[in-house]
Amino acid sequence: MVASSSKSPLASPPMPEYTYDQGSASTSSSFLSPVTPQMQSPLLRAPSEIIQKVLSASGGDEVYAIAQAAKTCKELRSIIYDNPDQALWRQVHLQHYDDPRTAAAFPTSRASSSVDWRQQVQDREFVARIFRDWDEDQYGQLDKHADLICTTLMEMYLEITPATPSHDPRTSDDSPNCTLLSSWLRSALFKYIYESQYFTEPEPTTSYQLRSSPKRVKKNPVDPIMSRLHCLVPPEYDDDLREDREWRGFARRTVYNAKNFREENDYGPFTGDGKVNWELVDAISSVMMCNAQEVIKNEPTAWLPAVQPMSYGVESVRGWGYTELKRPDNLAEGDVWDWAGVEGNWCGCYAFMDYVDWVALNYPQSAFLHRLSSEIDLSLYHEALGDLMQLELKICTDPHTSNPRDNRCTSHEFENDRTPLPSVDTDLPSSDLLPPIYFHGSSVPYAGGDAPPLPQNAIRGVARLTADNPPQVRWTMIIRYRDSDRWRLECVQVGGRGSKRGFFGIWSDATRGEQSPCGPAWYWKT
Amino acid sequence: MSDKKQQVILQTSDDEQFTVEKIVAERSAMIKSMMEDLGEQEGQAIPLPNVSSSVLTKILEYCDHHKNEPLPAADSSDADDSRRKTSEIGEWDARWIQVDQEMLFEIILAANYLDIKPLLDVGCKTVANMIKGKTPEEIRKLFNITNDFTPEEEEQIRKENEWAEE
Repeated sequence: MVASSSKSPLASPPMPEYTYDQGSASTSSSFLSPVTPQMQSPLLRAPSEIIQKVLSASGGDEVYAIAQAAKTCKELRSIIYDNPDQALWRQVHLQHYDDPRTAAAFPTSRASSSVDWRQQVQDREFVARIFRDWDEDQYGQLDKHADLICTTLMEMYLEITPATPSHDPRTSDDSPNCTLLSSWLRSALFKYIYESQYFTEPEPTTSYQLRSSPKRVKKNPVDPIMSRLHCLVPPEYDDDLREDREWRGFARRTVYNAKNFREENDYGPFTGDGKVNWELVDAISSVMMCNAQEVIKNEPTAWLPAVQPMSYGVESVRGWGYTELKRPDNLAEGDVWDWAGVEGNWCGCYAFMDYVDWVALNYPQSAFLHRLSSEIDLSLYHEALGDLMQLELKICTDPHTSNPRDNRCTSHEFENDRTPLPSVDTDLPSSDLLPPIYFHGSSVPYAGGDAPPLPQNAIRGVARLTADNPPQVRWTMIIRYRDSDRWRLECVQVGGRGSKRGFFGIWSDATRGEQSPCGPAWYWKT
Repeated sequence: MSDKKQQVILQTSDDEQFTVEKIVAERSAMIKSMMEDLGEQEGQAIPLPNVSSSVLTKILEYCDHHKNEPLPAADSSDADDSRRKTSEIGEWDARWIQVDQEMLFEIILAANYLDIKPLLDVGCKTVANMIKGKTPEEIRKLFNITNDFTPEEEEQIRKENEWAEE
C-alpha cells in the first residue's frame, strides 16, 4: 500500500511565512507580490528546510541549477534569494571552495557573517564560466570583466586553507581553490588578460623600430593584483613566439634596471613604505623561472632540485598561513621560534648580465663614451646563470635581546675582530606580528658546479614580515666571501611562510657603490 | 545480553506495529534516543505518529541493509558547514530509492523526522539529481509547480540570475 498524500500526516507542514525585507538593498524581493502556497507540488509542500537541503545538494553538484530553480516560481526564488542568513549559499559555497573562515593569508579568522557567501558563489560561477566556455574570438570582450576576474581569483587565492609543514603537494587535493586556480592561471585566457592589462597595443613596426630594441610598452599603472596572480604559476613561455620573447625582454629590462632598486626600497622588490612591489616580484620570478625551465629543458638533471618548486601549480605557493600563530609549547624559553622554516637545506641561484652589457643598459651615456653599442635587444639577449647552490641555514640567537652577551649565537659571530659586521637590518617599515629571525649558513655548489664552497658564517641574514596587510615574508641575505661582504639579497617569499616556491629577489653589490650591478635571484627549500 | 537479538516495537501513524531488531531501529537517531530514555521496558511500543506503515516498511528495508555500518557522528553544532561535497549515492541505495515522487518525498520527510542523516542525504540528493540539467520550465513540469511570476517580474528574475547566464 502506498500512502496517499492527502492522508499523510506529513502532507500539511506549517506554511512558512515570507516577509519582505524592503529596507535591505541586498535583496530584491520588494518587486514581488506575495507567495501563494502551491500545495499541488510535492516539492513545495515540503518544509523549507527540506527544500533548502535539496537546493544545497543541487547547487553542490552544479551551481547553475540554483539559478534555474530560482526562475521557476516565487517560493523557490524566495528561499534562494531572500534568506538573510545565507545558509543555503554558505552550504553551496563550502561544497565548491575552501572555507574562507580558515583562510591562510589572514592573521585574524573571519566570522561567518562577514563573508558574503552568495556574492562569492555568484562571482566565482560567472568567472568559472568565462574560463570554461569562452573562445579566443570572444577575448576582445574580456576587458570589461578583467577587474572582476582578477579580484575573484585573488580572493580565491587568499582564501586557500593553510598547508602544514608536513604537507605533501604531490598528494594534496584538499584545496578546491588550488585546483581551480592552477588550471585558470595556466590558461590562454588568463595570459591574454595579463598581456592586455600590462601592455599597450603594439605599434605598427617601422623599419626604424626593427633596427632598435623591440620594446613592450607598459601600461601605467598595472594592477598589483594582476602581477601577483601572474607569480603564482611558472610562466608558459615559447621562445619561438616574438610576443613571448618581447615579454621576457621586458621582464629582463625590469630586473636589471638599477633605477628600480635604490636606497628608498632597500635595493629590493619593495615600495618605499615597506610593502611588496608585486610588479618587480613578477618580473624577477618570471626571469628566474624562464631561465630554470630552459636549463631543465636542455639538460634535465642539471637543475633537478628546481623541478619541485615549479610543479603542482598553485600548491607550491600555498603557505602555512597566519591563522594559527602560536609559539610551539615544547620550545625552550631562550630558543628562537622558527616560524618561517629557516632551518634546513635550501637551493638557489642568481642570474647576471655581463657587466659591460649591464652598464650599457643602465648608463647609455657612459657606454657611448666607451664606444659600446647603446642598444641591447633584451628579447634576444641571454643572461648568465650562477651555479646552482645548496645552502644550509641555521638560526642564530636574537642579537637584539636585552642581554646580547649571554645570548650570543655560539656558532656565528656578528662581528669581525670585534668590529660589528654591517647590519642586516632595515629602515623600511615592517610588521611586528612575528619577530625577525636571524640566521647564518654555508653553501656548496650543486652536483657539477665549480663555485667555491662557503664556510658556515659566510651567509648571514634575517627573515621578517613586511608592512603589508596581510603581511608577506621578506628575506635579507648577505654573502661574505674572502673576509668581506660581497653580495646583498633582498627577497620576497611568494606564497608566504612555508611556501615551496621559495623567495625571489634582487642581488646587488654589498657596498652599493656607484654603478654597482644588480640582478635577480631565487632560493627555495629542499 | 543473551544471544537472542534485542528487539524493539515501533508503532506507526496508522496503528500498525513493527517488531524490529534494535540494531536496525538504531539507524534512526530519534528512535535510538527514545530507547535510551525509555530504558529496558520490554514490550513497550515506540509511537511514530508522523510515519505511515507503508513508508516505515520501505525505510526499514534501508535500515536493515545498512545496519552494520558505523553510525554517523552525533550532530555537531554546525554539521552542514563542515561537510564537503556529499558523496555519490551508492548502487543499492539508488535502486532502492526508485519510487514515485510522492513516496520519495514521504521518505525524505520521514528520514528528517526519524533523524536518519545518510538517508536524508540520499533522498535530497535524488531530488537534486532530478533538477540537474533542466530548464525552469522542465523543473516546473517535473514537480508540478505553477509559474506565478508576472511578466514584469520575469524580467527582473532574469536580471537577478544573470550571473549564471550562458
